[in-house]
Amino acid sequence: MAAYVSSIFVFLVTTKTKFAALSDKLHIPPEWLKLAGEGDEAAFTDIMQQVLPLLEVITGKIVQSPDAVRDILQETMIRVWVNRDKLPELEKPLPWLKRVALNETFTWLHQRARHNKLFLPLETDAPLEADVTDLVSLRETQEILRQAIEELPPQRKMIYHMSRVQGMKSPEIADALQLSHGYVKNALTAALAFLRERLAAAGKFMLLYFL
Amino acid sequence: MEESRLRYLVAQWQQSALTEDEQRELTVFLAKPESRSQFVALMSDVAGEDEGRYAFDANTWMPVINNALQADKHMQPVLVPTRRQPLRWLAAAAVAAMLVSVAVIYITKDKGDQTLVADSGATSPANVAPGQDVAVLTLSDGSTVRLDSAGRQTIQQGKTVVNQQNGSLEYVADDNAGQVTYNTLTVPRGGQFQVVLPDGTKVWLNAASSLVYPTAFTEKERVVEIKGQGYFEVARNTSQPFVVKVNGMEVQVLGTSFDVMAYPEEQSINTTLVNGSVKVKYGGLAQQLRPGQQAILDNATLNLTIQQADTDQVIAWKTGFFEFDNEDLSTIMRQVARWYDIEVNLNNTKTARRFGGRISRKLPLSEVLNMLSEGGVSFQLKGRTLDVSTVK
Repeated sequence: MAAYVSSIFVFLVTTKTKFAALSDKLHIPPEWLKLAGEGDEAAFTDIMQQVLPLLEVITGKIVQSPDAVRDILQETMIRVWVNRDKLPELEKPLPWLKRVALNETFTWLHQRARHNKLFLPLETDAPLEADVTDLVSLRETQEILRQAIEELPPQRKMIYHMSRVQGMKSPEIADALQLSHGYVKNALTAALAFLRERLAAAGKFMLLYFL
Repeated sequence: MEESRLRYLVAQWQQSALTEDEQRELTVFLAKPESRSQFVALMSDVAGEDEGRYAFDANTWMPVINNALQADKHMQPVLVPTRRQPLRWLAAAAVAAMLVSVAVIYITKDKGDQTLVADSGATSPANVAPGQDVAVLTLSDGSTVRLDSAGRQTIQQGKTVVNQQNGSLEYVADDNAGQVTYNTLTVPRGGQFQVVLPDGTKVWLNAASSLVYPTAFTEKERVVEIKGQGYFEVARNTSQPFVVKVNGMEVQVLGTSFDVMAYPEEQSINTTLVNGSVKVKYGGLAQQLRPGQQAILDNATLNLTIQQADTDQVIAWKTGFFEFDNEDLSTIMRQVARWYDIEVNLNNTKTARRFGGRISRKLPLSEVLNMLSEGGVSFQLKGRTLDVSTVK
């Protein structure tokens, strides 16, 4: 936690041409995006394992404290997860993921700037164990999601429960409830949209999906 | 801000070469919410994709990924899937099948279908409304005040002020209350009510329940007496223990949340600890509970046993639900009877079948009966008496 925020910004020297030349280096198979979009946790994990080292470097060059980087990317992961139904539609998933991370980076810097603490050392009164420090914003986000889920209409909540807690795929849910597959998919999409709405209403930045 | 200016400032920052004025300029820029898009555009412009050729550090990042995956899983149970040890179950498989059908019924209700078959003399359960926030407050002089969900009033008795706001009653603490007097809050069948006692303790009373308490806690212990079922969130005060008396049993409390169910028609007094710590005492028996445990005092044998409980299920009534997990028909129907204020006749039921499921208590009786009729139970309502029979 001894990191200082002065010298936070370290410009990346990479040029746009280099960016274009290397853009296919880090490849996210569309199949993973499709599966993650359906709530497949393993596929989501695969994608994140692929992109996290990159996001870590990008964020780390701006915010040099590893704790702050983790805090920012924790929020980034949650943003991506509650937008999972949009992943298969993304034409360029990687730039979109970077933008989500950079938006969370801005949020972090913005909060410090608002309290005029941008050039002050990071607080040392926070607990030293690294995995405790990022819990504050995480807990807040978790609480917003928890409350939002409780406010879902009963049927939609049940479908969401079967999907998330019981790990059922949407055809299985449709089967169990004797509903059409499309109906279940719509219910899950609507539930996610509601969660996003609640996060946004609570001041959590939500990036739009088009890019 | 001009893009070139921002690029310059950021580059200076990177070299720790910002003047105080420039630091201020950058702070002002980042403190403005509208700077977001310019910042993100600039940074993503320069961020490359070749930077990611580092190994994935699982120790650091797997917990972060998992936190994200868990973040939208926290919810009150909607359905009650198989849980606890199935050995105790008479027909675990049958229950599992039942759960699915209950779920289907719950879902399809919205589409609006038939009310139950009615013949002459029968009444429609669709017209039997669920319970409401109603109670009667009995003051120390014996006078009564009727409380209902729409009410807002202030009741003054001596130095004690009591405010009613809809389904909740709140006592205002008065340290100089003088003579201690006792009030009784009585909730009828088909009712529920909440009260905040003078020490800040909150009590939710279920249907057919009552609570006797002083208007000020001036004794060494804070003693209240309950009948029926209540959920307590006891305000912490270690120097003045809270004691709940229940049919000769005592629950001793420091600061905690727990549920007591002591209806005379039930088999046992169940004390369920949600969090904190309580001690259950009966005669010479005493048992300390840990969170998640339930003490069961059998009314017939007077045996006191401890078991693990599903606390969400026990206090489902407080959050507006019936929640059944592996319950027999008579246990379920007793809860239904208290809430809808009906009499239930179970003489024509012969079933070891058990039921599970969750349904809102705010629905009319017909919805709950429809849910149960899926499991081969049929109902006929005459006046306020419900005849229950099982098909085979």
